[in-house]
Amino acid sequence: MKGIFDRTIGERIYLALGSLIMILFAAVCIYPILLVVGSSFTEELTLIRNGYQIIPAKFSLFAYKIILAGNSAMVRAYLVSVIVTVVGTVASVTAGVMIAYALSRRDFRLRGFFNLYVVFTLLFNAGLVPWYIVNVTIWHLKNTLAALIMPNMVNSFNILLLCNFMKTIPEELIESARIDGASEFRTAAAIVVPVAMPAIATIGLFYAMNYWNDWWLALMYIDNAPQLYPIQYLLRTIVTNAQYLTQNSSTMAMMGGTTLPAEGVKMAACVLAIGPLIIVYPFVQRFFVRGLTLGAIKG
Amino acid sequence: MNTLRLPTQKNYAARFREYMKSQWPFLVMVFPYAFLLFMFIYLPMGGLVLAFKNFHIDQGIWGSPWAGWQNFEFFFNSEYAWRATRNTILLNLLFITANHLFAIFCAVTLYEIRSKWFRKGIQSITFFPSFLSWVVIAVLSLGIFETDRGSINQFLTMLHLQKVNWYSWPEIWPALLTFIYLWKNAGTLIVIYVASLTSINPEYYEAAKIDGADFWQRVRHVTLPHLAPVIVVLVIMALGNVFRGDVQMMLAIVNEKSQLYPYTDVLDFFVYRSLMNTFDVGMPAAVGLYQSCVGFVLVLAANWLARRYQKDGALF
Repeated sequence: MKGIFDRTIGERIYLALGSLIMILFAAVCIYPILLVVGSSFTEELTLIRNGYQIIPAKFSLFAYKIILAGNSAMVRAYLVSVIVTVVGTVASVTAGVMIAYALSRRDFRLRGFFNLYVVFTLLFNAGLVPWYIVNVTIWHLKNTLAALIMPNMVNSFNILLLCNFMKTIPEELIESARIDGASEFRTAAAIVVPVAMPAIATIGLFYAMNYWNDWWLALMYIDNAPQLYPIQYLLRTIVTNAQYLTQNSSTMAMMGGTTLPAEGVKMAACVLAIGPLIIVYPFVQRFFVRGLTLGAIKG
Repeated sequence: MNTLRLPTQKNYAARFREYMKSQWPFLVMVFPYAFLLFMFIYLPMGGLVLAFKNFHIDQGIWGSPWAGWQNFEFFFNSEYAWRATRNTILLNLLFITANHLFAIFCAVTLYEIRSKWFRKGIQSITFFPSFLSWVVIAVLSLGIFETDRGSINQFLTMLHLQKVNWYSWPEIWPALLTFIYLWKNAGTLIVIYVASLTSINPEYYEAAKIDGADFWQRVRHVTLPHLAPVIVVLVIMALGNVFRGDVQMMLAIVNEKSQLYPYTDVLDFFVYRSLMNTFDVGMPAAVGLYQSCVGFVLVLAANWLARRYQKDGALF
């Protein structure tokens, strides 16, 4: 065992400095989040006069009351985000598990071709403009819920991650199921899926996080359907134009003739956008670490 | 042999049935994702012809008149071509260098620290920001950098110093963006490096100690060589993407503050603005094609290098 006493002075100074730098960095990671949380609970005039503060000088829930009033845009956006995240993740994981299973089986004769078909998309893509024009003119995704879900189902990194994991499952396990007369689908569902569950959970969380955090698709494809704004895009809309909220009648009723607390509303919307992430983070963190480690080992 | 079994129509049909009997489940399984790739990746590749067209929405992709190399000439003769290319590469190099150096420093130091509680705590906290979207990060950075209410200026005012208006100081933005990038992404990299350090056989360490190696020698001759393959592969792969700018980062943080563009305008951001703000199609499509071709060569080169360096280090 190495205790701290068998370290030289130089080592101890280095480690103390190193720890200090890391503690500072960790503090810098938390500080802006606390700042936004504190500011969201601060009364608007105090907020404007004193600036953003971690501990509210004058406590107020007004910003939250306004953005959560009745059938406000925020409540709606939450609903859209939850639907998009759940539907998108389930659909993506289903499609992903199926193709990853097929690509991991040696009996699949077109495996080489489809492998290249998937990998090539990591090397070359046409860029923003053709993607946008094709989606608008051919697939007619403008102002549809599908626009928020389908483009993000494409994530070939996740597929390869899953496929690499499935390749490590012993061939004999699959062979024995096949000899027992199980169909490919049964083998996949009863043998491979349970064994690959850790990897499936990991990519499921990758997808879910991606869907929850998405505002890019809404920015591109949702322009005159505000009922389809997901939470992150509503947050962006509020940040660029806080008065956007005053278009909503229940928000107006809530304000009762006062002016909109623009700064507080921005901060409260931000807190609501990260709230669910903070709540689930302790439970899902290890899955992400595992996914990263899987990916890093392969490169 | 061949003369005995002439490939008749029937023979082909029978062989096809035989083939499908064993292969159809795989084809069914591959279909949904393969079709999505067709919809969102392969079909848009056909749309690259837009780079050579004068696009009119009512005439469609094929009906629009040809423009030859005009879209490319227009871009490369503008001041934006060099500016956006330079910013894309420089910012990416700054991001990659800062992120890897910092993460390696943290991982190596964490490895030396005995307190498990401290190691886990630092990793959990620094990993969290990678879960946040750029829009959220833009709000968080407002809290720090805002001119009247931001933390830094509050602090400066408290010390009776002049406030800094970050948004009218374009030259500082490569540094600020590097910091913000580090803030979001360092945790991920620390996790990866710490994970690869846990696979060091402790006997190397003990042996080094018995041989009288001091701390620095252990870091230089045991820890860093162990990390080297991972570092090389990750850096090479990141360099393969050096021609791709992060449009979401720029849109969230820089957005319409055009006074910052000289130092923050990256290719993807320029393409977005041309398409969505000025409704130009041909020219940004041409920029995209330029980016994709250079990017393709870079990724292939990076992969080739990674494989040369380490057999299973390559992506494919």
